Amino acid sequence: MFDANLNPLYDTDWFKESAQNKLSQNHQLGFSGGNERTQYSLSLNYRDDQGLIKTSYMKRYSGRFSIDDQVKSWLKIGGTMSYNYQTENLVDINDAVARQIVEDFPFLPVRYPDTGVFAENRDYPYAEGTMSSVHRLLDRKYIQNTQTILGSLFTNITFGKGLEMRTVLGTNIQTQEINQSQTRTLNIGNNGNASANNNRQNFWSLENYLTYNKQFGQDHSFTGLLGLSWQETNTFGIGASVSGFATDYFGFNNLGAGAINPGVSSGASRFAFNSYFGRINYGYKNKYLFTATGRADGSSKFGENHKFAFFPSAALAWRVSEEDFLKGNSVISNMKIRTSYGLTGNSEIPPYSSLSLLSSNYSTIYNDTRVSGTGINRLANPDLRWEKTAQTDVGLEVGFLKGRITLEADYYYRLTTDMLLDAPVPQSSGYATIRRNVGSMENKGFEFGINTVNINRGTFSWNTSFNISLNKNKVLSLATPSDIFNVGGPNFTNPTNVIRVGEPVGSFWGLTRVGVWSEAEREEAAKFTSYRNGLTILPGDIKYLDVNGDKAITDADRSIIGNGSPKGWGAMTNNIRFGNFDATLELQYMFGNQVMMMNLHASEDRQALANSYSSVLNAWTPTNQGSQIAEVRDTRAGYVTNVDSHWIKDGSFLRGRNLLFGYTLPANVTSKLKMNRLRVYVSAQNFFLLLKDPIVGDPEVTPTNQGTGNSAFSQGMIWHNYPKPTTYLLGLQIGL
Amino acid sequence: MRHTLVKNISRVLLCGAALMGPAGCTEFLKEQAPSNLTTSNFYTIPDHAEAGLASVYASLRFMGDGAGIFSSNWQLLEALTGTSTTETAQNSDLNNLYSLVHDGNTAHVVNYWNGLYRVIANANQVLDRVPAITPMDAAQKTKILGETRFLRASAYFTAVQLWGDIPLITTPQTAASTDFLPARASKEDVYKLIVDDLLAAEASGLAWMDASGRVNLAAVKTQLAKVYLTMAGFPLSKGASHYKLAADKALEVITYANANPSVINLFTTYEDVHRESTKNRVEHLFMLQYNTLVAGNPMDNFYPNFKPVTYNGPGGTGSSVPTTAFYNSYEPGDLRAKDQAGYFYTTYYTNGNGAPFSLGAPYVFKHFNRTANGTAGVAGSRQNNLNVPQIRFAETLLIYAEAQNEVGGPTQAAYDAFKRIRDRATLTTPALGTYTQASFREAVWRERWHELCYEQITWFDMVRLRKVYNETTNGFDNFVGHVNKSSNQALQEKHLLLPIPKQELLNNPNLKTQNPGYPGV
Repeated sequence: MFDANLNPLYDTDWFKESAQNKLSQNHQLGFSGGNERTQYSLSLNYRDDQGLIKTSYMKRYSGRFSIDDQVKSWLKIGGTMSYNYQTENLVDINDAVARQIVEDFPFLPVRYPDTGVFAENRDYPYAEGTMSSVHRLLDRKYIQNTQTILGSLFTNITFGKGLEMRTVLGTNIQTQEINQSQTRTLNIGNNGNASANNNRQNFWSLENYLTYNKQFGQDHSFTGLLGLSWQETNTFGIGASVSGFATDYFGFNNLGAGAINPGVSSGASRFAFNSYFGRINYGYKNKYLFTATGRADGSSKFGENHKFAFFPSAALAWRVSEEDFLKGNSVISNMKIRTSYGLTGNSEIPPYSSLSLLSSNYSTIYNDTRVSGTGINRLANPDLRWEKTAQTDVGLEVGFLKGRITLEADYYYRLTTDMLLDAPVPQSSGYATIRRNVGSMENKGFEFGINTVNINRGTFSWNTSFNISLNKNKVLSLATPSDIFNVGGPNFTNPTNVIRVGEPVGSFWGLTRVGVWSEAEREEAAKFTSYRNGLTILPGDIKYLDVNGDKAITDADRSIIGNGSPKGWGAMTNNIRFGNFDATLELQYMFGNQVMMMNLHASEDRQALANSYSSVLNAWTPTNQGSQIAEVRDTRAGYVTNVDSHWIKDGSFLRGRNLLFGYTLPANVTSKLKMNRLRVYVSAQNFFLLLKDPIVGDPEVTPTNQGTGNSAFSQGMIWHNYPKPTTYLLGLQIGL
Repeated sequence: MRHTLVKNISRVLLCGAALMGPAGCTEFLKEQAPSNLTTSNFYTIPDHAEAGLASVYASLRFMGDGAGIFSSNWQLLEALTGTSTTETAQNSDLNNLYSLVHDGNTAHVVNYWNGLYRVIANANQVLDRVPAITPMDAAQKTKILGETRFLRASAYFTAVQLWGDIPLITTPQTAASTDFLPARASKEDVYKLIVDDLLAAEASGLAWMDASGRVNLAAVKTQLAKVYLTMAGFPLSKGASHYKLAADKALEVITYANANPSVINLFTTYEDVHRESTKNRVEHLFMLQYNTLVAGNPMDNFYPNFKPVTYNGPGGTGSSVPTTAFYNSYEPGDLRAKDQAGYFYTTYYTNGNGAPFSLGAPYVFKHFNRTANGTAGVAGSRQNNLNVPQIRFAETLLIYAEAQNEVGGPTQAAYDAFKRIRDRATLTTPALGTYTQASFREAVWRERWHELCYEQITWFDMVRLRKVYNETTNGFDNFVGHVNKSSNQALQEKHLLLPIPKQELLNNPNLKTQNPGYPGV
């Protein structure tokens, strides 16, 4: 791999070797039609997305049909039916390739020219024993096939003036296969492995609404609604896996050919909802509007006596512009002040969370044979109940100059109580957690949007819209005495996130990196209890803040070092039309959000095990003592890596989300072609990303490899994610 | 499915018709988990008793579970001893154990607490529910309860040695249990339960040995001897009475072994100590059972750091490797220190079965599985089905030698037991007459260090003796003040106990205080 002068023979760009520039396609075809009595629509869609990395793809085929029929003057019926088939290769389901692309040594070829065998870091002495990115892409399959059938039927019965009943029966049937395989050379430990999983989910719902509309005189309008609904979801999954193949030919297509460690599993679950609700709307002279809603929602997931909860809400609006003193005002064309208060519920927890359950998946071994065992699994919580959020909102809508400028501003305060989480219990019980209503948090914020018609002159128009949202989150109380860890992901290091009273939920947790010990501090560094292989701490080692001053770096030195929630975010869109040309520019931004770059653990802190980020070139040396990066040393000399403040970056960004140019052919040309409309367009999506701090990865994504962590708290956690690809789109729209 | 749908819809329509009376529809929101049992529909027939017991055995494997990057829980009991060190510093919890600055958040400490109490909880479930199962063969019931009590006693024995006064939970828990937030019980009370459990296990009709890997009489008696020996030492300091109990109990096993040498004995080679075909036999009185059908051997962290000693190439972490000082402390000629012939290796075959190469340092061979990893000219099976030893007959012999010596100086029988360990190591042993009680005491301790190293035993010896082997002087230092060669850190009084996990202290106010010397809450 090196010539006589120790210059590398190869200079492999692993990103280039792993990535692909491919053409993707998306075709849609739609028809609609009908007469006075019957309307129908039919659409077909085909999509072929080639992924950012080799071998990854997603193809989707779908069709949808809907029909409405006014059977009698008092009876309307209708229905929709759609079918969707999606097949994809999620080859890098755990983002291991994204990481390996960074870590593969550039001085290795993709394959050795003499043998054709993949060259990998593991061939190089004392490197971490990993397989190359290209090897992983080509020798692994993760095929996910999903079929979805969505159907609905409705009837609308009009009983008399203003009284109507609508009944909707809906169903969603989804089956998903996940088939995986790894070749014998990729899965050395087991001579290849393969698995097949099949999951089915059946959902149905039945909803009935009774609506009554009534206008009393000129000034009073009234709408009342009563409804009931039932929903049920049933799931069933089955899986099989095996290792030890004599050939890579089968992949997952012949599990019976595997020799070692066959495994089977299955699981079923059911959950259901039942709701009763009512709503009244009242309007006076179209100036004062009032709405009140009440709903009793029941979920099977809660404790025996807490299945149902009541969620009222009310809203009040005043259309100031309808008042005499503003009517006809030339500047203010529309003005509305509104306020609302409402309670909503959350039941997003797994089924059976309130029950005491045993697990029959304990397995032990007698006589080298597997023996199945049944033991404890989950603590019952008969008091488990709905999580509730009370939101108060005050808003203002103003339109100026006949709608040329419209503004909308809202202030909200959301108080979430009875938060649903797995809360720690004393483990002397043998249990780790209990699912319970653990505490409360608040979100308050401000939302502002403005739309302007900058130019509107016949064939030339230019519209701009801009919005901004500001939010502040804080945990107010926890029912457990301890902080809650084990949230957030990907959970392979010390805890990364914490839920603590008074702090934003899921705040980042770690040590504070002061810098790197300097030559001048040699004596002071040596006084520290070693946090590097038991070796004396030297200049060039990472220096942490010793919070309690005990000259040892322990858990007592950890604290909250940031959080992933943004202070604000929004977007700005410009639409320009000039004659037959149109253009769109869409920008998106976020600020005040921090990200935790966990990839610095692998690619900056541990420098000599694999390839690293180029930032390591700026590592500490006696002549570069100001660096934040430890001195590069042989692996066995030890390196230090901890979740720390150096991994925390400012995630503020500005993204070019879409830039589009379109051209609509003139009507006289299209009519000659026997068409109604013909438009061609080109666009570039995600065409730039400006970052405040140098972040490798995308500040908006959460890790797919979340371990046991709760993804809701993984915002801003970067662990070798894929960047959002820049997509260039060429499109054609035809209307007949 | 179709049928269910129709049935459900008709039910819903009926309920809908009775719009204002949803009470009749509570059935719709009722839950019953189809893939999990509940305590109310289990423990009714003898098979359930067996399944309950199997969950207790399965729970023992927590010691092999991960504790963060490049680390396993069992390293808790190696890192503190000073006999091993690490070739990687990725895991800060493990670093802190090596440097003796662990605290109540150190993962290994937390995981041991949680793991042990999970074993205890599953055992309590069996002990609470199985007695009521009828009809059930009385002998089978007694045996299952006996095995369970051995496993519960062993978990409590580990816990009481690590933390001192601990919660004593003996019945199944619910969130409403009166001892869900337990106070700490005294060590005396915990040991009382341990001894009671082991005596019950001893009387439960177990066979002397059980090649299937289940608890057997030889294991129960040795464990009992070990408990008595520990009670004789610190912190209970029961002295002579318990040395006598320990010696007598160990002697029962030795007497049986002497009469049945093909059933219980020392292996003739050290290779047999870590050979798949000798699992649960002869010297292995009790082991944690591993097979890749369920779980493969969890001792990989003893492999060198990225050196290709197995079929899997350079996969090892080197996070538990012997200190040179400890390796060099073996007497010249000790077979146990000989490359690949004893408990260490300094060379191996590239990728398990290729060209031999020097490792440049000694590594632990005691848990190395040639069958799985490969050896000279033979490819590995790639399935590491080696068990993890818990109680070896070698330890029975050393317990006897130590306890008998304390009862009344070195007897011939005590000397013979001790000498058997040395004979296998091809060491010459001075005549019985050359030993005083004091010199024999230290000789046995020394043998425990060299024979039982890297089996998660040494730490408990350090705590009960309050003595630590000094690799340089070949003598014994007091625990407090001894400097671990792995990190150059001195052991302090506080290290005799581990800190209580911090979250546990927070979530259970009745625990009140942290063990002395560690940060509380």
